[in-house]
Amino acid sequence: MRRSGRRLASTTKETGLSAADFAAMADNLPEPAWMTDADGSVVWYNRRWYDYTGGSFEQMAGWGWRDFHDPAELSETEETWRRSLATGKPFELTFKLRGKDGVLRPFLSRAQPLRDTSGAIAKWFGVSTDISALQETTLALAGQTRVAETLNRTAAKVAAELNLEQLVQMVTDAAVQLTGAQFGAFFYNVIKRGGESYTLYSISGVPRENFSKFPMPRNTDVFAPTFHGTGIVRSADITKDPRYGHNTPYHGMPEGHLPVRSYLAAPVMSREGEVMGGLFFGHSDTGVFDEHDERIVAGLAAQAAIGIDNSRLYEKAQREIQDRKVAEEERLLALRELNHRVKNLFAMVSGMVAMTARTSQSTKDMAQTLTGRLQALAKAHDLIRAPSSSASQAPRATTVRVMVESLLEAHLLPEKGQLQIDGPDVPVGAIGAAALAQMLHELATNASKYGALSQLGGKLSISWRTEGPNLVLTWTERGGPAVSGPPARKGFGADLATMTARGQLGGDVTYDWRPEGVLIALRASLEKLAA
Amino acid sequence: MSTGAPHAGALSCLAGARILVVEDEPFIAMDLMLAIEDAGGKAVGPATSVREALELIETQAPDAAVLDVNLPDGHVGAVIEALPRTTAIVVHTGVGLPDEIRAARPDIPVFSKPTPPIRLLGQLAAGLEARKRN
Repeated sequence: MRRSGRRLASTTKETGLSAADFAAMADNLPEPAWMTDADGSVVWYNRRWYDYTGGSFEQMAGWGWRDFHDPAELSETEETWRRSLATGKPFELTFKLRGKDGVLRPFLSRAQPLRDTSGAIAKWFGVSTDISALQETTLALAGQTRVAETLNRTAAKVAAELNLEQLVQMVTDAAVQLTGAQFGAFFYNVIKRGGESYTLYSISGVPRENFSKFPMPRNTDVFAPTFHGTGIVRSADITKDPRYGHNTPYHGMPEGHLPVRSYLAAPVMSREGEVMGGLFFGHSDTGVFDEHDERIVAGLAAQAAIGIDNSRLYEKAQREIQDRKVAEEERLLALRELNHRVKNLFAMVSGMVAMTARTSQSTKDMAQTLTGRLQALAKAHDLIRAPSSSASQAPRATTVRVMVESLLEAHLLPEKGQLQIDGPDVPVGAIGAAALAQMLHELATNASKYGALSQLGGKLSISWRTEGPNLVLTWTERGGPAVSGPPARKGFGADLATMTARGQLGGDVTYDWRPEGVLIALRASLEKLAA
Repeated sequence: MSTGAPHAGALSCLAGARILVVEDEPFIAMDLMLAIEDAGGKAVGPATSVREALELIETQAPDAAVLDVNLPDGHVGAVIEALPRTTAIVVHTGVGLPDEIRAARPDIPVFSKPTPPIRLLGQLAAGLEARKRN
């Protein structure tokens, strides 16, 4: 075993390796290594160095290595190297070295001074480590971090955005930015208040005019997977896709459409699996979108879905709050209206009691008359009362026929065919019903006291028709006691009928006292009747 | 039978007075008319609408008036305007007088329905009495 120098000898004593072993090891280091003299002139390169650069010792000896550096970095490299030489401090720098394939690759170079027994620097020993893989990874990681940050930012914005239009624009912009698409579009379905749905779109990367002259994408073979929510479509060249160009009228993209070769599209689906829209991206170059872009778009599509869901829920909640407000206002209005009606009713009944008292012969007579009048009012109320199951307390309408049947029933004798009714359906509202009920009740009371309803064999025919803005009702009595003319004293019932017809029904009432029975004609405004 | 015969003394100045009744509810109107006659006054009407009331003011020149507010053809504002300032007026209403009329004529007493006719007439009597003194 050859021994050269004490330091090596001592080392070999510890390791059992010879100087030749160390020389072989240095030569075979998997990274380029080199040695300089005390002045920094390279005196030795290992084999890996020659393999990588393809240079000869003559080319690279001394300071010849400079030809293999990136000229842009050379001055900084030399400066750093000279500083180490001057100070004796270890050298460390990352620079690019040109391989024999001409490619500049980053190397992390470190050099240590080797000192002789006196402590003076005798040599420098350096190793340069190829860090191109590390740098690629770092760059990729930085890119990924940027993507993740953009995705996060978009997610946060989407979560906070309740305006649908801004939300989809945000998602489209983010996707275009992250996938490197030339342009992107987000077609989405909007459901109107009535339940009708239509499609809107946002555009990113190009002005909206580039799309506005084209019809909405249809359910063609290319678009179907997106609109049906079957999955993502990614194509390096969509014009070469077997699904492309089968549909009339364009057989592919319409003329003037931005040229699309690279194509990426993802459905946007709700939690319930409903397809709410689709994200579409294009580039005029082929092979632009990779798996990574596909995952980004899938992620953004999911975020968009959540955002749209949120926005819809929000709108729905807003609508519901609005609807409840309206319902509450309507309820209060109905309540106020009801209060009014009750108040008016009390006023009217108090007048009714006073009037009935004035015209009654005895308390028994008064009680009977009053009960009849109150029952007529109660019937009118029953007919227009809102069904108790209805949420709204607004009164419903009834008809003239129903009122005639209902009000006359109590006055008929147990004899068939006493009453004949004929007329079309005419609506009667809450106020009209009270007036018409009073009127019919007074006429019927008179008929059953003095007229056709006072004896068997009497007949009453009530018929009506509409005449312009009016209802014309004809009340014909026959077969009652013979009539000798108008009653000597006009009864209160007749006054009441006249006032009701004129005031509340906006019409009039006329009497024809024919010997065979009275004929009464009532004219009432259809509008007042329906009120 | 009668609802509270008017106190002869209190209502004495109604004797011979022409009192307009504007009221579209027949029972209330008739009761008022009869109460006026009972007090010795001359009942004018009843008018069941603004239009009828204006006609009666024109032809009968009433000294006093009992007015409902909501009538089938509008509210009673036009009737109040058509009545000379010297007319004694009471308003008998279920809804109250519209703010603008109330502001323009704060002197008109307003009674909520139902108020017994004798109270309304008592107020009119006081109004006529005050006018006589002036």
